[in-house]
Amino acid sequence: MAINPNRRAGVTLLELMMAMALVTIGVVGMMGSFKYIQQAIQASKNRTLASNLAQEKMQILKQKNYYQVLVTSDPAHNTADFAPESIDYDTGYFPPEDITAGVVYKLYTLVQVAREDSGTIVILSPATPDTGLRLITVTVVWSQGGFKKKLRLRSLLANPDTVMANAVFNGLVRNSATLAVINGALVNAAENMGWRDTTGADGTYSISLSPGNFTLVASANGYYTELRTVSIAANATQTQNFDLVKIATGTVTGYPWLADHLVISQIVGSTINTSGYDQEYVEIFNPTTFTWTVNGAIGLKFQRPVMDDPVKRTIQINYLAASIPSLGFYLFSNVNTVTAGGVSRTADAVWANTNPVSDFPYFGTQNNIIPVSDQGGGEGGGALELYRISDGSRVDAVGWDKNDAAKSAPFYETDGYDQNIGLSRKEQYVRFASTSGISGSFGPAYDSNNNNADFGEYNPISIAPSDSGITKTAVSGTPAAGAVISCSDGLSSSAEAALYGNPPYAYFSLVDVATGAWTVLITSGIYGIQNDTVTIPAAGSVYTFASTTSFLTQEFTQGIITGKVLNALGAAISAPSAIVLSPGGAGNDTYANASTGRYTLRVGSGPVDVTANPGNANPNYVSISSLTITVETGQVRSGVDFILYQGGRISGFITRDGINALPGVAVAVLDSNGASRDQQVTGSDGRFITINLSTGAYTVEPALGSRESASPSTTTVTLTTPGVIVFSSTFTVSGAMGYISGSVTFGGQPIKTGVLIVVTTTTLTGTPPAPPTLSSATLTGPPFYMVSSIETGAYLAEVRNSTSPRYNVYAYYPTPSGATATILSSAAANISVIAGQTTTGVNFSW
Amino acid sequence: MVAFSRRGVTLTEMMVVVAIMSVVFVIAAPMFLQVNRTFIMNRTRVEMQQEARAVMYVITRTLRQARASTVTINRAAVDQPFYSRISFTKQQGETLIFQQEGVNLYQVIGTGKRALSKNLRYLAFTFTRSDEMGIISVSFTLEKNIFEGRKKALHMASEKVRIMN
Repeated sequence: MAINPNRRAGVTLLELMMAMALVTIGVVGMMGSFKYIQQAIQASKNRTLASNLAQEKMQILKQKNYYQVLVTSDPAHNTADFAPESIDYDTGYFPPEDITAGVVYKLYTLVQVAREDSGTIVILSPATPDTGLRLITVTVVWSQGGFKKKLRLRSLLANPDTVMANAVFNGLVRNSATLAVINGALVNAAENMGWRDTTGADGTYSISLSPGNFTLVASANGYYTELRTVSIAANATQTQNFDLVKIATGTVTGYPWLADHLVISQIVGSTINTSGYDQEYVEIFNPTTFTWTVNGAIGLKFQRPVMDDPVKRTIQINYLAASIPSLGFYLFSNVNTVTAGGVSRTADAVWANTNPVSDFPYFGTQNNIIPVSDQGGGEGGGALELYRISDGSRVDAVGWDKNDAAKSAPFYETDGYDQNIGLSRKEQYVRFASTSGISGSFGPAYDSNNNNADFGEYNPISIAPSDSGITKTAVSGTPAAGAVISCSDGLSSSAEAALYGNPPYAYFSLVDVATGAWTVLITSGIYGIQNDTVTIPAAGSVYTFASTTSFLTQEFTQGIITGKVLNALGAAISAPSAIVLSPGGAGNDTYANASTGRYTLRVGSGPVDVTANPGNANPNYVSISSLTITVETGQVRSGVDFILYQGGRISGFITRDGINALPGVAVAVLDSNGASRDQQVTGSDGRFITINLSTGAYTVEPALGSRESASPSTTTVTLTTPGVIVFSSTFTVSGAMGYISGSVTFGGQPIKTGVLIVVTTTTLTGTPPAPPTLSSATLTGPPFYMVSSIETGAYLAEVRNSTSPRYNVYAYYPTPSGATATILSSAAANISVIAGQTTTGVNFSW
Repeated sequence: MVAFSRRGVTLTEMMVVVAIMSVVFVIAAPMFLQVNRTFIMNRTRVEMQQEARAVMYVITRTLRQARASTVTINRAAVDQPFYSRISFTKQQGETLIFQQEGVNLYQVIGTGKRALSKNLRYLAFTFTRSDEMGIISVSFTLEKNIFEGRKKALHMASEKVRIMN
């Protein structure tokens, strides 16, 4: 468009408005982007805060006495926030904390026993005696924009007072037959999982430990575990070679079947009885293990080929029998007594007289629903559906074709039963009993969900109809292709059943199953079967599931954990009682077999901690917890084994004055070599009790901070009898710590920037009262305790127990300006502090 | 069309435009101001966080190398807060001082004096107890003025340093 040179016009209103509109769109767009910038800043801030919180928690833990950083034997699992990942945490010693700093942060803490093994850090069972190394995991979880976020810190804490192990076991682990070295075999002391080593490619191991008597355990995948009782003196090196016997293996095979629904087992459209009546019947078989109610619950529908009738018609039925038993039959018919195949049967349900001829054109002729080709008019094809009346869902369906008239079954499973002229008079369609075909003696249960593969026919009728009074054994069902097979032998992996043959069957072969008697679990979806008596007697043996025992009929909503519990000599434990295995909250407890030591636990899916001998139910043996095991529904987790050694327990009482309890004091129990075997913290009653310890002499020692002392400082206890609790001593601790807490406010508002709190027994002078310069030169004077208030305007000062003299508490609130600062100060006098307790309400306000 | 396009804007049209724009600006101005304020506040917070981290890193890294027997906590002058100064000698023999002078946090090495932060609100070097000087707790708060006299403080939770030597 040419521009008119004479044009002098300014912008029009329209142009101006469009310009404004464009500017507005731009501005709105920019405003929108602010939101994202804001979110990004927020995300970065949240993460920084989380990182600070985690580091702070870690610092706090690492500053504790090593023996006060306790390992929980029963961690809790948070699987909700980051499913399927689980955040494991301690609920007892270091419970989760909620910290509000803009958003709510949840701090989870977990302390685990760790050990360096051949260059890697391994996590050990919580009952492992002290290894001198602990792994602290702090996880911070928070929500942002509806999503959970987490930040995890891990740090190792080493015991500064670890006793140097001065005895060494070393040697080779070999295959007993070939004498070839075994790579990756684990050798450890049963008494202390921390004393361990894993063989490398050269098959050698070397374990440093304290001198004493031990049971060495050598284990390798595919080999029998060997236990050996050994004894070693200080500064000695002893060679112990293990020649492990390879586990002989066999195979478990089977043909798994699913049988979870009723099936249509026989269809007859027309057979004339002796009185000339044109009978028809439909027989149902129940391959499941439960009784089904049929009366009013299960119905039948029929449809002729689509060109004859486009709609599936519901058959009106008068029910006579209530239900169909397991492996039983149910007979629908148009007469009360069916005479066919040389027998007479009482029908369990008959067609009602109310069936309309508009739906079933042959109903006028002796109540016929299912027409046959002999009736003319192009009849012969059709389909029957067994359905659940409550919701109309299909239970089973069978369709048959009439190919000479190109009339296909109106509905079917996979493929309609191929017929040339269709169903004819005196003809019967019968469901196979197995892949071999029809049988008169076994239940017609074969169902590969393909009508053309599952049915056969006879003309005249040769398989007599059955009613609800008859049962037959089922040897097949629906092939359970995809079923997963796992075994408790701890050696074999799992196998999956696949389809073979025509008609198809499902078959599996689980190889490398160790010799012995095992539990085998076959699961497919929620159905499965557990067989506890699968035996592989010798190398190369094959165990085949019998056809009658390979139906996946149990409903599985659980997984299985198996293993064995043995004593240090490798024998099962029976006295004074069998060992209880507890999966915590994941399932019910069970007992280990008193003669084989084997156990099988059924547990819900998710992380599980198994404890053997919880609460020392068998008082002669120690209690040991496994590491966390993750189990899925229908899965066997095998090889969760425990070796329990005999032991007794040590108890004691810690007091601040000989009478009153002093809670929260850590107590270390050291063996004769000075290695820590257990640590406990006194409860609110001042008492402690150790885990079971193997018999022997122990030193009990309260783990105290500086300037704290205990009387007596240590006590020696000798455990001689397994199962007995020995009282060590009453320890009186002097100089133990208590707390003073309070708040700092300015004009009624909490001070967020920080207030210095100084606690001392001396009186400070000056304006403001001035605390002295502190350095190592002042170390011998009366102590000062100092702390800064936190962001919430609260403080908590840890001070030594003192009721006389009492404490003075000074608070200083500085406000800097330019190069100087003004200080507001305040003081509180006559504050007494009792060990293990908190004196609250020492508040300061300006 | 041609006749129409020759005309300029009338006074009425111009007034309408001015009126609409006034309304738009009146609504938009506070929004812009608010957005700008939030932006500055967030930027300042991030700055404070970074500064606090850097300061904490410098202090704790050097403090870890201190010899416990050489640590002294006091204050730089009588017009400074208590325990806002720490002096110590590192394992390598070098003497270091961190001290507060009003809103400034200085690192002093020999005669050299370097400002680590000019936004100090609170600083305290404390022993949890004076009879055990192996653990020193470093607490400080940084604060920066934002326009209109609004202040935004960031408290860096105290970090405890264990002196190994």
